[in-house]
Amino acid sequence: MVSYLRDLLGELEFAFTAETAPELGPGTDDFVKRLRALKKAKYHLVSLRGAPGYGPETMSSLAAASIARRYHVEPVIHVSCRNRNTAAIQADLLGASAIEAETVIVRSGAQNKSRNAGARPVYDLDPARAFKLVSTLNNGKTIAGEPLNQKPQLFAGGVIAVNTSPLEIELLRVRRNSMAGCDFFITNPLFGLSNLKKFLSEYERLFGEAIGKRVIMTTLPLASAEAINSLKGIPGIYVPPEVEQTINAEENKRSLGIKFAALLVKEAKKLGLGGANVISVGDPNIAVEVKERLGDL
Amino acid sequence: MLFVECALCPRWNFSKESISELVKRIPANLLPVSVPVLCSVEQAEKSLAPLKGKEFDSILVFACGVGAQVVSETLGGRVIPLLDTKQISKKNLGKLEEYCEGCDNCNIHETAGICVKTRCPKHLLNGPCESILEGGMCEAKPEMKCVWVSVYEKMKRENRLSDFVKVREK
Repeated sequence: MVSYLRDLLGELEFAFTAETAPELGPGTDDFVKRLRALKKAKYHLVSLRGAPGYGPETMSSLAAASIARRYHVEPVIHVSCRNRNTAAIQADLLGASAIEAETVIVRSGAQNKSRNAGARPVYDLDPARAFKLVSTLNNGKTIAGEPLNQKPQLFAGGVIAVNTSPLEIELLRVRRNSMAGCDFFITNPLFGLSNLKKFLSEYERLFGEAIGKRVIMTTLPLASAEAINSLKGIPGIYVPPEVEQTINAEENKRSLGIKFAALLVKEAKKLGLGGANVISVGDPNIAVEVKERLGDL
Repeated sequence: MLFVECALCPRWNFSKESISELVKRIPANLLPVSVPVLCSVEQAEKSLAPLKGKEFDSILVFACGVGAQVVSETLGGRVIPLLDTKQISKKNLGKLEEYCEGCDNCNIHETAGICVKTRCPKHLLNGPCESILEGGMCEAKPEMKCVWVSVYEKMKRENRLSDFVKVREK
């Protein structure tokens, strides 16, 4: 099994992923409906958040991926260095490979600010060392050097936080992750592409490598004033004031939010990026509507 | 009751006056004993030898967690620590900042003389995380500057940014 995202990026086909998570609890009826709807909307993959630092602590990403697999949905699992130690991350990655969920996003993980704020953060690995771990596993060995009975074909991505200041520190961090084995990159939610464009041109200038084709741009339809407010204070997310004002002045905010997200995805494709990731927050069908608006893009 | 004081380390963080005040507030007959350095088993054994075999209701220990445990091992009895022990810290204008976690693998020469393992709240060896706040502040402790921003600034000043992108394994 080869990661579907690896195929798409390799063939330079613009990849569509939708990011979602199961509801809080073991019931999966609504989650399965959403998976089916996203598949029907022709999202190539569904990216499954697990136990995020902000928001409800839902089931693990790997468990959600195994449900997605049952319905023939291509999952992307999330590995948060905050939540698991090295042994547990290795175990999850082997499990991910076994259920053919080999596309993985690795992130440090925000400090716990959610309902489980008392949970002790781990941070045994950082993303750079997690990418090294992925490479070790892909070469058929565990981190202890023991041989695996089969080589996984994990395809691992890392986060680009283009709103970081100073930008150079983020350029260096991403470069380090790339050298450690990061296969693709995914941005934090964006509502404009100017900072990403600047990041990509600076990266190419500094390191002589154009990585745009390996970058998935994330966006999130701003469908209400509440949605905008809920993003404030989340590190790395910046809603430009003009976008906020325009949405807030509009009566049908949901429709305008969907339109903005679709336009940004079109712009991302025009820019030559590898794909787009659409997050739905508190409005499960919104990613489907963004895709419908995009038509056959 | 026995009152055992480690004479050296706690003095860095508590004045003699504050120790006396503390002793006065404890309503009991105290037998005070001062040991130069409680974490030295030899010194503890030597200073506490006359007290071995004597029974005390409680043994109050004014020392770090190591000192309190050495007293417990040496004398037995009910040891009550009077201090909460923090890690290895820098003291600046009366405020303690943890600078070292005693990891037995010092590599601060790779991170501009700054121990990221201790001072980054996420202990990231290859930081920063993706969540630096505006102004280069730390997401986990917004009142402090991101330690990895400090590493970056120092390396930039010293023209050593090529070290920044190296992957540190431990």
